[in-house]
Amino acid sequence: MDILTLRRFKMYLMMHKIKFIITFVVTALLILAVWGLSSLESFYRHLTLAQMPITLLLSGVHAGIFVFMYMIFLRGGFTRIKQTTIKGQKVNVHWNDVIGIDEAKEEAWEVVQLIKDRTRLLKIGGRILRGLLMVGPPGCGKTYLAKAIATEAGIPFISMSGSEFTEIFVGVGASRVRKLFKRARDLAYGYGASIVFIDELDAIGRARSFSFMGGGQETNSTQNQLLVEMDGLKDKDFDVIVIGATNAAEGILDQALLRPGRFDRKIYIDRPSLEGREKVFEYYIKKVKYDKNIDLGRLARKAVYKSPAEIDNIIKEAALIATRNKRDTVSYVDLSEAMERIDMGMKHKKQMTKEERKMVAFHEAGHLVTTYILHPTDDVFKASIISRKESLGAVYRQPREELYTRNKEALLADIKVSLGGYVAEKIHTGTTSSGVADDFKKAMGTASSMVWKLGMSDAGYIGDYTTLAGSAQQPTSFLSQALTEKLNSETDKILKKCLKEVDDLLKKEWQIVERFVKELLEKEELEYDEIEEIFKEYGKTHFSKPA
Amino acid sequence: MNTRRLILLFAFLLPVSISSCDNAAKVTYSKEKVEQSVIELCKKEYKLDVEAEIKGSTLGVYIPIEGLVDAELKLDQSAGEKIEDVALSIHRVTMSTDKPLKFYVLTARDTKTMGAEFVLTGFVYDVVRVRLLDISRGEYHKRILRDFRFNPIMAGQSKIEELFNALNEDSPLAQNIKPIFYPIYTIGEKGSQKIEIVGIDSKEISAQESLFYVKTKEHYAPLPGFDVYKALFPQGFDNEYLILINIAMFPDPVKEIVSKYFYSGTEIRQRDLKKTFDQYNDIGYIGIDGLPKRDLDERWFLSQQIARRIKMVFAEDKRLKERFTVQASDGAIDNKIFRLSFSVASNELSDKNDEIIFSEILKLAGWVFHRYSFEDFEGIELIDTRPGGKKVFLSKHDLERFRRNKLKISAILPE
Repeated sequence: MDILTLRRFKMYLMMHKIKFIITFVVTALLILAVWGLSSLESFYRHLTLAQMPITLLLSGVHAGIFVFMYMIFLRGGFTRIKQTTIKGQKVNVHWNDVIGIDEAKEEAWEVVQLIKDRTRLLKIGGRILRGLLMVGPPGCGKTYLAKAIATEAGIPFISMSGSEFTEIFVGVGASRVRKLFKRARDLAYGYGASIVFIDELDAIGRARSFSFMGGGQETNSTQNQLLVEMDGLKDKDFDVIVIGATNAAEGILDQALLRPGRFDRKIYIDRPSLEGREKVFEYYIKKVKYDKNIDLGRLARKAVYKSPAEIDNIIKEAALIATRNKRDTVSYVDLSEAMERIDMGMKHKKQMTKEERKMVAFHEAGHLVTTYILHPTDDVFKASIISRKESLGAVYRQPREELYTRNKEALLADIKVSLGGYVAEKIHTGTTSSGVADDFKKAMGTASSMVWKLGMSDAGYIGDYTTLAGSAQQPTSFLSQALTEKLNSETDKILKKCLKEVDDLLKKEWQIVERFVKELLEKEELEYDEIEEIFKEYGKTHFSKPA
Repeated sequence: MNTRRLILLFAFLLPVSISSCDNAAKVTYSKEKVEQSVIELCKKEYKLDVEAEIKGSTLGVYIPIEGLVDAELKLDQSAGEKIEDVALSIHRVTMSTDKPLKFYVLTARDTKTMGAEFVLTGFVYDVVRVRLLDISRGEYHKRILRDFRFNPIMAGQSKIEELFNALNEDSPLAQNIKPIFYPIYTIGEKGSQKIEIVGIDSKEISAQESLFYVKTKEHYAPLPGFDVYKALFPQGFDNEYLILINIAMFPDPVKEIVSKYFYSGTEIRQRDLKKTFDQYNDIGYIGIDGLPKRDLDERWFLSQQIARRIKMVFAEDKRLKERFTVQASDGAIDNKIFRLSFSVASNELSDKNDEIIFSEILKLAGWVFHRYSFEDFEGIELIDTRPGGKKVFLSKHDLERFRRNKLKISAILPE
């Protein structure tokens, strides 16, 4: 018997101590019961056996009542959580299953290697990895990646959510942390290492607060215990690797958690790139029957900023739509509708008057033409005059690729697109509707930011003037009335300039606008291909801004 | 729980369950060893020597006790405890055996005071029901037949042996009755007579009276001139006597002695005493050996129980107790008809007395039959044994109607 087998046997005994004791006691009681029954005279034996079912039933009921009362009055209800322990081999999430986050994978692979080669690392005096923090937006595969690490490293994996530690009673969370790490250490003793995965780490990892009223004490004590346990890991010659995941900004977490020796390695997991999205689509779409002619690249382009979880959801939703429409395979139309449903909500046709419909059609055509011709980065994927949620119509646009900054031209284009609806309404009827409220809000917001925060006004104001303006935290404004007026005047100038440009454009291209209005009134919705086709008819291409 | 653990649990529980089932099916006291089991249990647990015998479905147990009765002729406390111990042993065996026993009879007899005995007669099913709390202990005690009495047979037999000893020893006590023992005290020389008892048969013919059929061999030396009788009554000739004993007449309980031979005018004649003896019914069910003479049956048991409970009903109910006194109550069964004879005196003259008495007894009988779910009878006859007392017969159906208050007592009682 080799040392590891012996260790595992000892670990098994340690971990199942209570179970062994209970089994022994139950067995002893059972044997005593049989022996006792045998020693009874047959009448009393029969009597006892006959009463046994009802006795057992009553005992069960009594025990149930006792447990119920105990949990309700002494343990704060049935909220005790179960730590999920899975052996590495059984986690069953393989490295190839993690897709669309290649950079994060590369970093994680290094972690896997460190876990696997810890003996060699110890020999040369290297420091074994203690904690790994995965930061990123929700649904990008943090949990998946953690599981993949466990599978690849072949070590047990204990998973808990940060919120599962928090309790109304002070000390309960800390006690759960102790239990979690005790279990992890036991597993590590048997398997050489184990992974503790704490999802939503921000629930217990927020910067500690100290209140004379005692508020936040529970979270503080839970976090303190986590810090102690992570330090305590150093004393052992076996590894417990703590993987934390959070979608909160790094600054929100307590600095003590982030210092070396605790979560000393960080992996940033962002939304997948275009290539990544395509892979994600390819991965998830294989799980449903789909039309092989679907252009996954186009889908990936359309799904800019979508996380893998959202893409998975889109495909599931598309499958539902296909089923409802009595189709055997998922088509591009289903995927497109699923994406809209998720982004824009369900269609619900409102009973509008003919004039109202026409007005909405002009409004959306205004947006459409402005976007197509003036916007430098965004593509129009769909135009619709079917109402969804609060909006009566929509032009669905997306950047052609992931952009992490927007330049002045793009922001101006955003304002122009927002004003496109207003201008179209005005040219058509000479009046405007309340449908422009949201557009104006966006346009004004963008123009204001450009002047007040981004230094993009023609007057040359540089700096973030909002920091000087009064707010709830800073009641006194350091801006003079005159400067405020000037800044506001610059904002107005941007809006007016954009308005004029849009007005010129739409008047010039009014024929195209009217054509889209006609098409929208007829079809209610226009897809990307149809929109492209119409523009081609008029010899227009993307961003063919007049010189 | 995964499959492997379930299989392990099953593998562990299966032999345990099989073993339990096997043990559960076994009876503690097998039907072949019931009597032996009672004897051994009493010996082992309580150091008591008992005798046991089964007649049909009736288990009889006899325990001789020195000092069963105290100086005041009451049941001695320690003797009572021994009786309880034996009764408990009987209960244990009867409940845990595969022998289909219905009744048990426990007889405790005083070895010093001849004839004093305590008899407990019970229905095994009642024992089970009280253990299962199906009936109360109070009700259970009412269902047991308890007799603390002087056994007329035992007392009588003792007296008869004493009498014959007195004759053989020519005691002055026997002088007056010698002529009854014909012919040896008529034809024999004084002091030459010897009577040897060769057999005694006995019957209880009432609560106090017992009848004995005694067979003897007699010896004598003939008086001068009576040698001729030697041909008829040779030495050691067989003789018979019928002796009636009434224990109520103690210390001289011999009520009547009838000899087989008698001189009538000019000839010696003889009586058929065996035939006469056989004509009497034996109401007793405990033999000389303290064990049951016969198998008991439910009808007899219920008749006796109801007769005893009549006394209890009139003694326990305050209203009835103040007004009535049960002087006698007896039960018998005759061709599936229960006969309850009773004599209930009232200290209050009223037209309603009969209605109350008959009504209470019928209610009691109906209730007992109902509680035992006993239906193997045709009717019940109530006989008021007082002079001019009424007699009522109710079919089983009518008794049930009366129990359910669908038949009024006024419609039952004769005018």
